Amino acid sequence: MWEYLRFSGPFPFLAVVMPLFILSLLVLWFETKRDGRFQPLKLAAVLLVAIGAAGIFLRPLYKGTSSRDYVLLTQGTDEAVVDSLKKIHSAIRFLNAAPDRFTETTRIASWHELEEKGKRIRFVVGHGLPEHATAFIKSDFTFMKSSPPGGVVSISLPGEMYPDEKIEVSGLLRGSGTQPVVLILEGPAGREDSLVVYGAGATRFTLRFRAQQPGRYLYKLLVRTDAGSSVVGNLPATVEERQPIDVIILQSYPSFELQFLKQYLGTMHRVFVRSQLSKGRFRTEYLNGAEGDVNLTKAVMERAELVITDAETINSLSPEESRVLLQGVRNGLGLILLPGGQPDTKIRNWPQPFTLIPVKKDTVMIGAGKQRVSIKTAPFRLSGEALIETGLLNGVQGYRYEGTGRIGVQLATGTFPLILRGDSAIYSSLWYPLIKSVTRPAYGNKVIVTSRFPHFPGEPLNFRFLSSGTSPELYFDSVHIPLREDANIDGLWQGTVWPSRDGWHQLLSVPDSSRTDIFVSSPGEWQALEHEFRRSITSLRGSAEGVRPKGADVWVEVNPLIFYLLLLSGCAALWLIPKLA
Amino acid sequence: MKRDGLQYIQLLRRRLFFLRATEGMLFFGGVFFLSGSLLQIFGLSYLYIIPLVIVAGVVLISRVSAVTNNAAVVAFLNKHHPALTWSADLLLVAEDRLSLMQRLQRLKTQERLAQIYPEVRLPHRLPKAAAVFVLFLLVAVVLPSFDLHIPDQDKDAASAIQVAGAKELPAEVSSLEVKVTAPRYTGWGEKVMRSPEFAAPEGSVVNWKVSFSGPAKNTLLVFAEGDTVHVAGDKFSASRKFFRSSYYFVSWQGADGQQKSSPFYAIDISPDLAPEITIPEFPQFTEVSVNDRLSFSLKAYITDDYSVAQAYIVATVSKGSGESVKFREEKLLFDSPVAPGGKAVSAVKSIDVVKLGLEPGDELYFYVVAGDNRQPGPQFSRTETFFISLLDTADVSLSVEGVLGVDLMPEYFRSQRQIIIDSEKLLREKKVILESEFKGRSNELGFDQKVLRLKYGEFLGEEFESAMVQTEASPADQAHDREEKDVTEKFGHVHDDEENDHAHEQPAVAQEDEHHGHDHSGDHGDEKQDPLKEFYHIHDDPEEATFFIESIRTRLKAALSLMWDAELQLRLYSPEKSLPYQYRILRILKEISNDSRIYVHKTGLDAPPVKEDKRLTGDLSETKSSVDRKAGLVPPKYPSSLKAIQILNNAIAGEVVPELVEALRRAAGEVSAAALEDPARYLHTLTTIKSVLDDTKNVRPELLRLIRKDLINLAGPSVPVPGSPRQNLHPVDLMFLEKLNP
Repeated sequence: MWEYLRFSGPFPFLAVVMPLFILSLLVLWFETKRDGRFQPLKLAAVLLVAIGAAGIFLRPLYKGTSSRDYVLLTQGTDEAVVDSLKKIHSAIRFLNAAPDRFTETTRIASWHELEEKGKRIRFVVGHGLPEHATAFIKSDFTFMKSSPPGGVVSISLPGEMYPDEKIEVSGLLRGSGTQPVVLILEGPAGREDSLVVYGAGATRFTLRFRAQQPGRYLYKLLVRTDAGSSVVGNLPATVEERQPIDVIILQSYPSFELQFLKQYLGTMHRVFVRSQLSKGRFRTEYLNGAEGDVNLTKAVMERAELVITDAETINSLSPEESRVLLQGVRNGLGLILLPGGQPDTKIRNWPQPFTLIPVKKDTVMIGAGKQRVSIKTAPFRLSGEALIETGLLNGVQGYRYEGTGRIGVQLATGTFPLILRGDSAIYSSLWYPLIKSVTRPAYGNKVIVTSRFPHFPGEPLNFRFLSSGTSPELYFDSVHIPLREDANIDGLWQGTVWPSRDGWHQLLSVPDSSRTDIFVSSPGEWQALEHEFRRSITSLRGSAEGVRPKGADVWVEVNPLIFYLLLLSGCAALWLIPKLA
Repeated sequence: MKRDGLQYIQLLRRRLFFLRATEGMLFFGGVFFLSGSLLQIFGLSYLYIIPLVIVAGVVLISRVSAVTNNAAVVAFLNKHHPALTWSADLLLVAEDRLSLMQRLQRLKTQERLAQIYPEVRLPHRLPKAAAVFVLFLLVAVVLPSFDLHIPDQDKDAASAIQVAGAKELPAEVSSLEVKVTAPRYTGWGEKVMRSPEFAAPEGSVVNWKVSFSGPAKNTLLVFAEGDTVHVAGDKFSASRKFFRSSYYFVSWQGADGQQKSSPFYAIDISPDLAPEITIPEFPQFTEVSVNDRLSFSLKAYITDDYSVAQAYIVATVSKGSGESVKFREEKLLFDSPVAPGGKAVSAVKSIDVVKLGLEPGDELYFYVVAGDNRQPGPQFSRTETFFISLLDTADVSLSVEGVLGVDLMPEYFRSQRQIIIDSEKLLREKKVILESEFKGRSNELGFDQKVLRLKYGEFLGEEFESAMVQTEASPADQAHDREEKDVTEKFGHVHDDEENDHAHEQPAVAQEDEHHGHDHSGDHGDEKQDPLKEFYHIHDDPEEATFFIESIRTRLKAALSLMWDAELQLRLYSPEKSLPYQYRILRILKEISNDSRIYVHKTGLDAPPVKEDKRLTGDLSETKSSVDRKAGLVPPKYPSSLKAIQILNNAIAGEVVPELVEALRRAAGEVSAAALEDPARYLHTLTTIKSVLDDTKNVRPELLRLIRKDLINLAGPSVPVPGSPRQNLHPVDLMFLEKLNP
């Protein structure tokens, strides 16, 4: 019996039961002695009084089964799903993380509250949890997704941005299809780009802009429909200042192509040009304070970032110079080969850089619309598995790795007339991707933010960076941040910050004073994107199959009011029955 | 509830008042909206509507009050309700002042009025008033959408100025009167501007009169270039002449001794443009033969911003050929109008080339010139040159003197024209001569055609008959070949050394390869492996060796191709089939002949003469290595603005930037230069910068954003130059690479 019944009253069981039992027996004995009508009723009334009094003093509990599990309601929860869960699991309890909805449920103010109840969450309903909150749920759970969010559900920003470079922002727009959606990108100088998206479902989009100056900029992404315009969110753009590099141009004889390329690169970089006039005689030009030996030495190759020449010129170098150049490329130097006088890219004692396929076409079109122009090329196109092609010109330019350096090739031979015609932008678009891809990178230890965009206040922001120091120091908005070194990789440090407000923040690395700008979006921005990410993250953690809620034994107190009523009715009966007689 | 008679009448009076007032309001409302619309159309101030409102209000109140009294109601009842027996007046009189009979009648009338009261319909024009209101409202809404502007130059100019202006004066400046006097020839006249910002024609004299609400001294007008004009006199007046857009502000010393200044005001000076000439539907190159219509109608549409003062045609007749080409220039007036005037002129001229003295083979070049009425000197503009060529088919000798300076064509072989004449003669005589003779003469003509082809082929570079080897098959033709060889020896230049012979064989082989390239591509692997051939310039290739420029060569090749066909038909004894080819050959040769007449003055580098004793000696003693140091950096056009953008970025992000003021001050200098070129675009930027600089302690971020936006637009994009990408590199990676590449 005690397995199913317990007492929670302030008095011991026997201390209550024994006096009541004796008292009841006495009353019953006296009543049986007295003559009178309604005797059985009087006995019953005495029993009622005794039971009521016992219940009041003993406060009995009985054993029952109850659910200890939770349903976590997140943003986007469908009420029908909640109702269904209530019907099926009547005892289950609800935690509410969706603000301003389901007010009768238990609300959680912070995801950290899940740390305590994380083992008992069986269902997550709605768009799901942010990445860091999923770590609090330590049990298996069923994720009951709401319908996919509409709007911009994916966005990707380029890693590095430089002045006047064409920067592309691509993403995915999930539209309803009932009306066209206009995506507008606004920058500090006004509207930068826009496009119209028709049709339902997810549509990939790309918007472009150019920032003219280094600095931190905010670009606003807007969505305009027939119903009006709304801001999707702010896109941060940290435009970095471009550093001048050392470029070496070697040529067997002067050519217009390299002359104009020299002028183009010379507008920013240090350029060293060596043109052969005759055997053993060279014309050497130094642009913008470029320095270097006339002879190609290891030191020159280590200092330079890019060499532009042709195979014919390399073949005319001394064996030592050719070896030093190859060694320099393998150590990270960039090399661009031009067709030159002979379009062959075979270099003596070098591995074959490229496979060239002869073609009949010796021109290629570049540009768009009225800006479309034809450019003369060598009658070859690039081929080969190792080739990584760059830019729009399929098979006309490309590069491949040689050691840690890269060897690129440009088969367009008549690019300088573009400058003469005033099409400098097209000229730049022709050379820019190749040179950027091939040039030796500037090695540095920049902080890499590993948390995905967008970041929100109150959410963790993870980062890592390389440092050879034993105890590097990092400051987040002048607050010192604790760091931990990776257990497996030496010099790889990781950290987490919790931005408290939206806007720009800064990570400052003390050893090299390098600064990393981080933008934290306000909570109202990028809603669809955040929901989509939460859906995918929660889907990975959760299960699509149903997880049965686990039951638990509970001692349920019998309502004391019942015993009070029994006592009252017994007393009333004892008072009333003599009157009836 | 029962009412007495007077109460009924008062109720009716109130109802009548309501009706009258409503209809009056509707009428007035309609007129009000219509008036507003008209004022908007004619660009007048809405203040003009105030008198209308006052007058209409007075009329409405007096009219309504006049017709809505008890007497009027009683009169209406008596007139329209006979049941009251004309006794409704009694209801207005106090009962104690009535006789007994009158009282009885009053009672009776009162009862009857109570009975008929619900049926009383007071007179009103509400539907009409509502219709008028709706109609006028519609007209008022629709009317402004039509362009009812009176095409008045002055009004257009005035409205343009209003758009440009609309800037408020500072509180201390009570008025700023601007009087613009444009040059007389513009017809613009003299205007007093209502706004300190204004537009005016080039060369206008502007006079300012400034008056201040308080004491002011040291008053200046400061202009864009930094020029200052002291505003002199009691009324503070100054004047200046403008030839380009500018801006200015008023500066004065107030009572507190501080030098104050107004916002910037733009002066938009519209330059006097040269006339524009359009010649529609007239081809730039026209070729006519003598048999064609030799009169052309030339229509020219000439427009100018003020007035076209003169227009004429300059025609040049080119006669002769070779070195004896003569030019004669004439000035032709238009037939209509002879003396042009007005902003737009549609001029017509009939050009008769015969009257101009053109003969077959001559050419006419002409262009149209128009001048405006600008003072002191007119501005002229002209069209491109149009060409009319009168073809001459009689002379077919090819002249190449325009290229080489000497006539290389020999005179002693039959020309194409002669072959045509002989072919036509042969066809005419066909019936009267023997068949053998006909065939013989046809064959001879074919031979002549061949000789002619060879001769032209020589000029094209076909020094030998590389292309005709395979077509010569018949024995008869082989016989001709022997003769042809003689002919080629006679007319061509023969290389007698082995080296040249070898060189001339190469094209033939190449040509053969070209013929069979598709079928035997596998046999030419060596050639494919040697891509350098594509880049050689083979001097002994017939395609490359020629005296002619590309267009002539193409046409000459076409003529040679036709000569093949013409010769074929002649040799097949079908001169009638050969003739169409011969006519086409003649036409092409004539075109080439005419082309060679065009003379272009040669310009370019005159290289110093090479010393003969140093030629081909291989002496490099004077060729030395050189080192040249240059600066190639291209400075930005607006460096201060670019710097300011960066500083503004930080300031907008909330950082304290002490150098902001100095950066803006420097950027303002560049913006002011840009505002001179385009005041409408950059003057407000200058004003915004000035407002920030005037109150540096309370800088609003939205102002900084505006300035940044304008500075970015001012700086504009530049051509991007690639550099090094940034990349993280672990020290272990570096060590690994060093080990990998020792």
